[in-house]
Amino acid sequence: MSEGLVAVAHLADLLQLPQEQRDAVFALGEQELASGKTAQAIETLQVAAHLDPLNPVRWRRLGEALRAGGRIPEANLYTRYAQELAR
Amino acid sequence: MNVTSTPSSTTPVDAPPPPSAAQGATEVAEVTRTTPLGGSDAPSLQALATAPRFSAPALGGQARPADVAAAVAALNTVLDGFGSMLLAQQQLRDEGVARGTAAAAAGERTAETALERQQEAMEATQRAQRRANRLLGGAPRWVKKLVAGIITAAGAVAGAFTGGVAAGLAIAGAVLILAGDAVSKLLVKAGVDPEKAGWVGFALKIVGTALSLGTGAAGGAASSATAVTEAINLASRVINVASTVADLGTGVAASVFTYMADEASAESDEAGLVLDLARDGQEDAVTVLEEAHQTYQRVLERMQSWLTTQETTTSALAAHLSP
Repeated sequence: MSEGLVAVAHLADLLQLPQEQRDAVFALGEQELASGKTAQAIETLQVAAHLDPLNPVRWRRLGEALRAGGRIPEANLYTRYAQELAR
Repeated sequence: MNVTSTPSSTTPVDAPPPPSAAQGATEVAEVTRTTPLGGSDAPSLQALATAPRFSAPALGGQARPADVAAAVAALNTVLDGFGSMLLAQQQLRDEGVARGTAAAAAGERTAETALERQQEAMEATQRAQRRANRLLGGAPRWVKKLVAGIITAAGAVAGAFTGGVAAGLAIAGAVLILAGDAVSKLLVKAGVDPEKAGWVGFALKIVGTALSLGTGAAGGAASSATAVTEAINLASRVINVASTVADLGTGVAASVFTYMADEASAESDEAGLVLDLARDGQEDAVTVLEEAHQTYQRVLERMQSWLTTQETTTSALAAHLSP
């Protein structure tokens, strides 16, 4: 298999990461948000949400990070999505 | 040496429980860039830990160091993959072989095989559509139509994927999830209303989620030389569709998607499942993936820094507590 094929397969495998590893990324985002590193927290929580797309807490916290960063429309979007997921 | 412990002031609702003192002290792992994705070697990483156990407070927030190390390793591998994929795409574009390769592969298929794949793709698409509908409870109507159109188009493309329909859907889903935010940024740069651009990027993630879940991992499934091309072409098509919808506005979105989905199906049925993609579409796809790549790169660097801080703190505490 060429490197390119391996790369594409890895992208798909992102969704198969063990839960502990997804939690580790999310925990870093939480820490960055708590320490006021808003821009970094947004990026990290975006990745965490990608890794766990059906978890409403991931999207809700991303929304809160976006709100802290002044990106209100996006924050509202993700907050709304988290609410839908949590139903 | 200054030692910094970095406990979080908040506790996430679903974060893992804090590690025991013994775990936090001993699970220091070496990280390499060759670790297979998926964390299957996490036990061997833990086995590398040699420091004696001691009583110490939990370090570095909510995650265990071994999990952080494994996550860093996994992200490293993904980034390697990103780079490889972008390089492969560049090579394909430069050599101009993408369409020729796909056409050759398509020509080798029998009509019966193509029909079976289309049937399988259709069933998978219907399942994905049901998942997406559950996720879209409060979304605007035009977003629901957007999602339906993208899923239909993606299903048609997955039916042509030489590595199998399930792998095609999984790969397409992962790419779409990663591309969502970058697509939104591109649309905003192009002058689209930020809220609408946000919904478009969001729709891509929903489609990606719906396509990927339940299909299983695609690792090893992409056995054809056309796999990379097809996956990138799918991303290109979706990005083009999203841009078109955003430009046209919500009123025309449904008809555009119906047309494009029909077009994708027709191409799949009549033209040997070969996608006819514009060169500028591939350029957009590369830009989107590069944006996602850069984001992952920055997060990875911070994960590595976090891991280093934890290791430093652990070593200092071990030295302090040793008799």
